[in-house]
Amino acid sequence: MAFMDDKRIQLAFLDEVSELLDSLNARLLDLENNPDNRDVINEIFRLTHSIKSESAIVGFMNISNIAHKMEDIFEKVRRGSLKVNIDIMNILFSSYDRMVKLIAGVQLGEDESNYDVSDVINKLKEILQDTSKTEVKEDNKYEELIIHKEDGAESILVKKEIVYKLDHDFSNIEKANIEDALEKGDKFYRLIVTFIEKCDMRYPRAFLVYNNLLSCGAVVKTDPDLQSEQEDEKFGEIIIFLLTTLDEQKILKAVDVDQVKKIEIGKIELKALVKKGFELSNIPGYSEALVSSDMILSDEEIKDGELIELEWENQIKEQIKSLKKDENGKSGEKNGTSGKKKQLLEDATIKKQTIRVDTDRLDTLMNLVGELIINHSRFMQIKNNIIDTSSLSDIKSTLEDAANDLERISSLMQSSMMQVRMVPIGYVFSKFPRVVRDLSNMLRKNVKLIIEGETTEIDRAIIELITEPITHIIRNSIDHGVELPDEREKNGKLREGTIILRAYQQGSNIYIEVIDDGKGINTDTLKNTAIQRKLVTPQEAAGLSKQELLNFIFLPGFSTKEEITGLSGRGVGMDVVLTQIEKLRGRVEIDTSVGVYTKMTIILPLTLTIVEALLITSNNSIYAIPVNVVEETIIIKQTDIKDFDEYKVYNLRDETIAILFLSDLVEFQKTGEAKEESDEVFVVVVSYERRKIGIVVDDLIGNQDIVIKALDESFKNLEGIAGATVLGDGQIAIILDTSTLVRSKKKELSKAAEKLMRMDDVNFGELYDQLNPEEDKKEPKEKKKVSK
Amino acid sequence: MIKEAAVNQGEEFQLILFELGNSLYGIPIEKVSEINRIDQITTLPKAPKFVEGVINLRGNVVPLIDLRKRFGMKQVERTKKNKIIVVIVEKRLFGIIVDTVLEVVSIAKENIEPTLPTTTGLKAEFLNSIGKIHESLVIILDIESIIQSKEEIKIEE
Repeated sequence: MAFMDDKRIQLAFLDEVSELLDSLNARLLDLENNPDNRDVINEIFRLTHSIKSESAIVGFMNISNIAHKMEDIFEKVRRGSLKVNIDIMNILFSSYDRMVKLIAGVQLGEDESNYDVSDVINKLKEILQDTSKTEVKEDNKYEELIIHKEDGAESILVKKEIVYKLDHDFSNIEKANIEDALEKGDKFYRLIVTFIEKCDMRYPRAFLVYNNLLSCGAVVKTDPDLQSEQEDEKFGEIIIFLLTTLDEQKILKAVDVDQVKKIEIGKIELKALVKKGFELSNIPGYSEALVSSDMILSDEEIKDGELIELEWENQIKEQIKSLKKDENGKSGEKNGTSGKKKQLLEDATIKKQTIRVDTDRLDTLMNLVGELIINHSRFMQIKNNIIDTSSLSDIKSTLEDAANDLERISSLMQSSMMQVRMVPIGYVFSKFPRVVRDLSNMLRKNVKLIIEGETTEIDRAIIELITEPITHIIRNSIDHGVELPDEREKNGKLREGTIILRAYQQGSNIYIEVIDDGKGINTDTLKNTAIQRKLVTPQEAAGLSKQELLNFIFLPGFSTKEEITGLSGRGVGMDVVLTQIEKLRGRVEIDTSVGVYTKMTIILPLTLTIVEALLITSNNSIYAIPVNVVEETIIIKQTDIKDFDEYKVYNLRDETIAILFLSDLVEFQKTGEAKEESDEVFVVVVSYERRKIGIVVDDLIGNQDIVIKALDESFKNLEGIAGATVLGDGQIAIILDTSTLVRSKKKELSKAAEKLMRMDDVNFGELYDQLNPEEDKKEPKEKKKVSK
Repeated sequence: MIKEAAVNQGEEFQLILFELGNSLYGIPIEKVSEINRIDQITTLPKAPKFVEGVINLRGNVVPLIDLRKRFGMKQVERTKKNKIIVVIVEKRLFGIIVDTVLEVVSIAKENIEPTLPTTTGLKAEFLNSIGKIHESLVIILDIESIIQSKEEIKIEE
């Protein structure tokens, strides 16, 4: 049982920490853009601190250690003794990445402690060590205080500061003393006294400092405690909390003891005490302390900020120069870090579990809603039967009321259930600023990412599957779209390129657009590549529309980029994007203008669980075809279907479409019942790879919202079968994925047929006419148009 | 060689007995969710041959496996005696069509033997054990591996 509890705590932690990590990523990006923003620095400090402590609680020591080191770094950044530069940012980002991977590993059931994080920790340590070197420089900030000494003048470094945050805790008695003293008007100081390294007899000297201070006021506490610790080694540095009415100069004199190297004297702000739980309401200035901001910038800090900014700019410039060198060095670096411990997956990501509802329960509820809808249809059917046959008007009206109620409830349940499944697309979008940052750095491009519509909601089943396609499109935009800064300038564009990532809802679809103001896609290049690869003949190519040419991008292995970069351009890409999006029953559209922009639009259904489908019958079974692929349904004469080679074609308003029989596509064993040979057949015209195909079915039933039920895992790989649904009368209808169905059939078809499907309409029309010289072209009767 | 799953904590455990061809088979009762008569079956295109189709079990789409086809036995015309045993395999439901469902029997642990039946040709991996009830032998099936295996199973009748 204890184990179970641990698991549950861990799960809660994963939720919590992945939110913290998201914020951390966003703030790190902010910091890179505004390296001197105190709010951002404070926020990062707070986040790293939370991640450190939360992960320590559940025992994820690797994550905790990384966060701890990051916290240390930001503690220094906060105090102004460390400035972030691009090197440090890169290390911070890679530390962040490592934490993400560790979390992803934990989600997959891996033991977090099995992984080696020493490489990241060491890098973070290096930053901290580097700063201790620069801390010598920092010492310049200490005023040199020369105090009269009997044995000649010796300098002591003094730093004056204001303390906003206390690391020490106080006992209740100490608290009461401090509160009393403050009420009387005493000031509260923290003194940090450091002895020189070679200092001997540190304890007596510390005690001397303590004694001297007793004459100035009341010493509340020392760290280390002079009463309990007496060993010299512990007193390299002593922290003293002092209540006094004297001014700082006098305090410093009291502390001036032989072999003291430096003194930090800090007046403790009320704010710091409030945080420690002091009861200070009687003290003047208390209310201001409560509302005052956490960080008040001293003049010194503001000056520092300006310095940081300057240095920052210089470092970026240098960084860009040395980028190429870095890239070469990377492979070696990788070998160096491969430790004995496990390496994490390269592309591990944290799965979003933002809805804090047990997903099993959610699915059960969803199934229940599905059942309710089915039950409702059955109910309605009973109602209709009774109304038709019975004269009992009472029963009729009651039943009608009940049925109406049920309809209302079920539709409400359906929509509220849908709500639960919807999550803002921002969860996916938030990872792209980082992608754009890393990639544009690597490619030496200047790219600004604008995100719009991150509150647009989308089914959580979809959200997990669209990250990859969007990443791919954005990569393409940066790699192939946006030009190098110099090139852009030459073309009269801003040096900085812009990518807009936008989501919005229209009707029952979600639109996700990726627009870059780069060089666009040259359709002539596409045409030439297509001809070179013998995908089309030059004659055919001449007749292709812009859209048809652009669609070549979606063919596997089709790439016009001569130089293969590490990221994109290998030709594996857009076809994968399209396949993935089609799996989600969506589509991808391209729009471009050479030299101006490229716009990729992903169009997705709002949900994957309920879909509007056209129900048809074939071989005495009912099948459902999602309406998003249905162009129209028509009734045509058997005789209008012509043979072309071994294939059937039909001329639909001067467009030749291939005709396939559903019974062939799904490969029934024939039931034996001879079909009535009617002279008219029903044809469902579906879109297939942006062309149309007619599928002959036995009968059309109509459109209906259906609840998609996945088939058992063992049937996941049945090509062209998208699932099943239960109809109102309890019958099961198989949901067809016509594109896959046709594609799998096509494998069996000869190349000639493939050619036919791609063949240009006009050419084919001529061919058709040659084959059917005396055929009079009749307009087909249209039974019903299915809205697209 | 008796697999853990087949043994209840007590000294005996219960079996659903059914007939297929001329042999008597048993499935441990805890693997069985319910027994139904054969109603409307929807064919599942492109599925393996032994998959009879899918059925609607209170709104759930459940795959149906014809055990005669699964075991490569000859097909006989279905009658009212044919039943669907709905089994639970790793929380998933499957229906299996059998000739007749007979009864639920308790069988003592000592009446179960791990001996391989050379007569049926059923491979060891699909076989849990052999039980003896009133002088007749019951082949206790490991229904999970029968459903999950892609291997062809052939039983000589």
